[in-house]
Amino acid sequence: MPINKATMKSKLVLLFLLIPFATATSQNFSYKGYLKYLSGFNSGNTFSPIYYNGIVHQRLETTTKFGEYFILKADVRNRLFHGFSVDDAGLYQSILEMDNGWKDLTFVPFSNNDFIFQTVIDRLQFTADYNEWQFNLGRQRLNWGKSMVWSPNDLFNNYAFLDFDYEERPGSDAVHLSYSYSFASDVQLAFKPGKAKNQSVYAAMWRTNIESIAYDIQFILGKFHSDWVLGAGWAGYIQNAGFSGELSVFNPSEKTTLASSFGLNYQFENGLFAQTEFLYNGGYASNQTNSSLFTPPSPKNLFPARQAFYANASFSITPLTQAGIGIMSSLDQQIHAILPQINFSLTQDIDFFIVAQIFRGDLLANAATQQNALYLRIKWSY
Amino acid sequence: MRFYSTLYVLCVFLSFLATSLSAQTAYEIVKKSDDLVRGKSSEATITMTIVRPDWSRSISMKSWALGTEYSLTVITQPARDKGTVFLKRKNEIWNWVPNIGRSVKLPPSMMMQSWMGSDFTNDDLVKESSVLEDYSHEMLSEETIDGKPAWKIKLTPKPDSPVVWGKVIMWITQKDFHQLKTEFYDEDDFLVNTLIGSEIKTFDGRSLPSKMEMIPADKPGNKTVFVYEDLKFNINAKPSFFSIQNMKKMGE
Repeated sequence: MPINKATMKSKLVLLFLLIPFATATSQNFSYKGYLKYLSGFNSGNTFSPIYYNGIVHQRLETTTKFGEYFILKADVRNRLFHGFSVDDAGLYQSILEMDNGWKDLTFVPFSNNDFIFQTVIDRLQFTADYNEWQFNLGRQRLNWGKSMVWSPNDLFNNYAFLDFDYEERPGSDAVHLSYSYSFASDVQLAFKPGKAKNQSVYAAMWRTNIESIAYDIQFILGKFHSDWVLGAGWAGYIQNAGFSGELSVFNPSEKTTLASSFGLNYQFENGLFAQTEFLYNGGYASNQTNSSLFTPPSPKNLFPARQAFYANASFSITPLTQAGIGIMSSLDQQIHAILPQINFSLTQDIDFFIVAQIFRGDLLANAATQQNALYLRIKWSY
Repeated sequence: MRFYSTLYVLCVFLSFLATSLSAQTAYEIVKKSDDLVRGKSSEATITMTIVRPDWSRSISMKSWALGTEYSLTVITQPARDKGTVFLKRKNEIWNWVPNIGRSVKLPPSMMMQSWMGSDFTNDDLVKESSVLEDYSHEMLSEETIDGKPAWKIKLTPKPDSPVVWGKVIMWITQKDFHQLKTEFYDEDDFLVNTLIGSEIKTFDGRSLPSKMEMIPADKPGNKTVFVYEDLKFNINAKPSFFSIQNMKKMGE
């Protein structure tokens, strides 16, 4: 079996690599991507020892159009890991080999004591587009969220806000059909098969725009694992500020769970952009771990506390330098994160980014020895 | 943030097509010149470059517009922002973020920003002031500009008009009605900005300056350059073209 799986994997990789060449002469092929290097320094509050991790990260996104109606989108994420986490444990490789999709599209082509190389095909999506109709099959991103940080309406591919280096966020292996009947109105159906019983997700969404008050609204009905879910979301304005939010009610056999987030954003005349978001996380369980902070959470349980808020302010120091600071905190649990960041545009296509993640609070103190993290990232986009 | 601020480019572009600075009488010359760059709808491929003494940055985009109420703009360069789309319908604005496959509704306050400190003031861009309606027009003289005979016309804001300028001086060529030079003065009569039009090309049967440079008077080495690579007028665009579905398609 391992041989078969490996063979299938190499065939897939080969197929993936051939797509661009087979169609490179065609005007219907386009690509983009980036190459970046992330340096991470982690430490406890004594700042000794300091652990170093580095990631060389390359991404290629391809779009191939076949005639007027068909599109194939294939994106690959290649990462070469080195540093403390690689030297420390083989556990790291086993984590990197995991793929939560219906098809395993995550590979570790080589690894030794110093380096691990991981390849993930995180979009592999066939699209058929016919007037108001669109059909998508494969690994795709089904983004049904309206909020920025926590998304109870994102039943298919929720994401960890603090995983800042995964800018594209994960996709899901799904079938999706949409019918658009006006500029902001459509009906969507989606199905994501699970690997095991009660792990599938299927849902329908209706969304529309109320022009008179300039609001987008949406309603969702579906099945999330073993729960029925009823959801609603909105995005509109209060005066000149943006106001958006989501709520989902999960109704399993034992207990009804409500998850809701809503927030405001505003740009001041001096360019300062301010953003807030509040989360009520009804699925919180007192014995849960902190993993939802760093790995994609369930829409039912988005944070290791019942209530949370996020506030962020960002502004341009110079036309080429953007700085910001975010605060993530909880009202009912001792958990706080301070997230300062700064980005320098070095050239048209090269950016240098510095971000710190400073965690405080009992909940994290007991769970993490590395409460202070500093990341430096250089990125060339092509 | 960067995606959001890019939005403003759209307004810059629109302001040229829809409310471009525009008289036999001075009024008629300005009107004739202004009509040249107007159309009920348009499709444009454009590159904007901010030039500073020690750096420059460019952004390229393709944009469709219907009147001043509807527009759709796709960023094609730089690589980092490729596939980002902005949709404007009346007072609502959406942004397609291609890497996460999501449309985000932007707050109206976002419209008040400039892009990377360009040399266009907010008034140039959003306030829909009209060179025809909001100014009175006076013929000053006839001069030669770029070797071409031109009228020199003074535009003075009407008392209640939404204009920040004290006066505007415009040079319009007599043969083709091209605005090759425009000077913007503040209320104390100091020169603030000079707009230079050059590189005449024919777009969709209309002869127009394809390059526009906004040069601030008090900042040596600074300017913002617009180059129209392609421009079509009165395209067959309906309000239904400006949809979230099309925004998503353009971003792919």
